[in-house]
Amino acid sequence: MAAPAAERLPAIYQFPPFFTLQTNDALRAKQLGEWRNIIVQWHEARKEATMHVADWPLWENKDIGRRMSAEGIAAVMRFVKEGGNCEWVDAAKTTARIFYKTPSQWAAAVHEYVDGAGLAGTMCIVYDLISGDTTTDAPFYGLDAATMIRALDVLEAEGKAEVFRQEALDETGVKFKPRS
Amino acid sequence: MSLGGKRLGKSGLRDRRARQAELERKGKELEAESIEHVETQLAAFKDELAKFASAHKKRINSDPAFRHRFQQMTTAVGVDPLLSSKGFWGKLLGVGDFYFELGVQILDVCISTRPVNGGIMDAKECLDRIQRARTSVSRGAAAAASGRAASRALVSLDDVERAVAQLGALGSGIAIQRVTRPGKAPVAIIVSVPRELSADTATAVAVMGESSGRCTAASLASAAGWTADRAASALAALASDGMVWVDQPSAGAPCEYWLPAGALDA
Repeated sequence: MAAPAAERLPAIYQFPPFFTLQTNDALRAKQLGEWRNIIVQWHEARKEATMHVADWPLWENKDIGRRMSAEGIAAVMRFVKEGGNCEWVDAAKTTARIFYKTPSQWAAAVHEYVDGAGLAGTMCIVYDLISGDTTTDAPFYGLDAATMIRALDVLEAEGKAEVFRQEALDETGVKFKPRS
Repeated sequence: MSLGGKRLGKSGLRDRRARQAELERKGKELEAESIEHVETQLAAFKDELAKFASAHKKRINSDPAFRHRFQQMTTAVGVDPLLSSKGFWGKLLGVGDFYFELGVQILDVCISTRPVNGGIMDAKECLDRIQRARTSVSRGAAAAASGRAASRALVSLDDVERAVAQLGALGSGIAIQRVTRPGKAPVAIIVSVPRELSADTATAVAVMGESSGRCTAASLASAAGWTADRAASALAALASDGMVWVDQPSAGAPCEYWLPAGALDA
C-alpha cells in the first residue's frame, strides 16, 4: 500500500530511543501517546481498519536502524486498546481493528449526520451509509462495515437507534429514532 | 638679622605652614573642579543616553537586533538599563522589565513542559513557544493596544540566553548548556531541574552535549576519566528522572542515553 504523499511523521520517529520502551513513567506515557497517534493517523490516512500487528511497516525505521521490540509493541498495543482506539479481532492478538475515531466518536458523527440529513425515523442499510450514493459527503463514508456497526451499537445502547442484525454485515439494518 | 637668607624662628615656621595650607587649598579646589567636571560630563552623558533611550524606547522593546546593539553600547560604559528595573532607568524608560518579564515566561514554559522533556529544552523551542504565546496574547488584546503588543512579541535567541543568565544569577537552578552535533549548528539548551544537578550528572549532561547529545556508560567513563560503575550510575540517575532517553539498539547491546533536546516536538 503506497503511502499518501502528504504523510508526515513526527520528529520523534527519527529519535533512536523512541524504539526502546522507556522506563521513566512520564517518558513512557509520552512515548506510548506518540506511537498511538502514529498508528491511528497511519490507518486513518489509508481508511484502513485492520492492523496485522506483526506486519505493520512502521515498527521499523530503516533510516536510523531501529526496530521496536516485541515487548515495546505489546505495550503500545495495550495502550492503544486502553484508549479505545482498537480492539482485538482474534484471541491470539495478531490482528487489531483500529478505530481512528473511537466507536463513540463515530456514533456521535453518525447521529449528527442523521439529524442534519433528516434520516430519523427511516430504515437504513449499513451498505447505504458507508458506500451509498446519498452519503458521499458524510464523514463516515468509506468506513468499514464492522466499525460502523460498532458505532451503531453505541447508538442503540444510548437509545438513539435500533439495529437489525443480518448475516452479511453490509446488510445490517438500522432505524434511527427521531429526537424526542 | 638674616642668617643665610633663610628665615628662621617663629615667623619662618608660620610662613611655611601658610604656604602648605595654600597648596592644600589649591589642590582641593582643583580636585573639586575636576570632580565637578566629571559629574557634569556624566550627567550630560546620562542625559543623552536617557534621551536616546526614551526616543528609541519602542525600538528597544520591539527590535531584537537594535536591542542587542543598545545593550552592547550601554554595558561597555558600565550601565545596564535593560537589566535594572529599579529606580531611574525603570521609571524613565519602562524598559527594565523586559528581561524580567521574559525570564518569568521562560520559567513558565520550562516548568509546564517538564513532564515531557524532563527539564531539558531546546532554547529555540522555548523561544518559539514564547513567541506564540506573546502573539496570541496580543491578538486577543484590545484593538487600541494591539499594535504595541504585537511589536513587543519580537524576542531573539540572544534575549532568551540573557534572560536565563539573569535567572541563573538568582540561583534558580536554570542554565544554558550548549550541545554540538556533527553537521549541525550548535544548539543551546535550557536545563531546568527541580533540584540541583549533582556534579556527576551535570558532567554527564555536558559530555553528552559535546558528543552529539548522547553517550554510553563506556564513552562517558572514558571522557570523564571515571570508572564504568560511576558513569553507569550517573546515567541511571538521569534516566530514572526522565532527563535522558534510553536507547537499546538491539537486544543485548549496551544502552545509549540521549538528551531529548530537538528530537521532541512536544
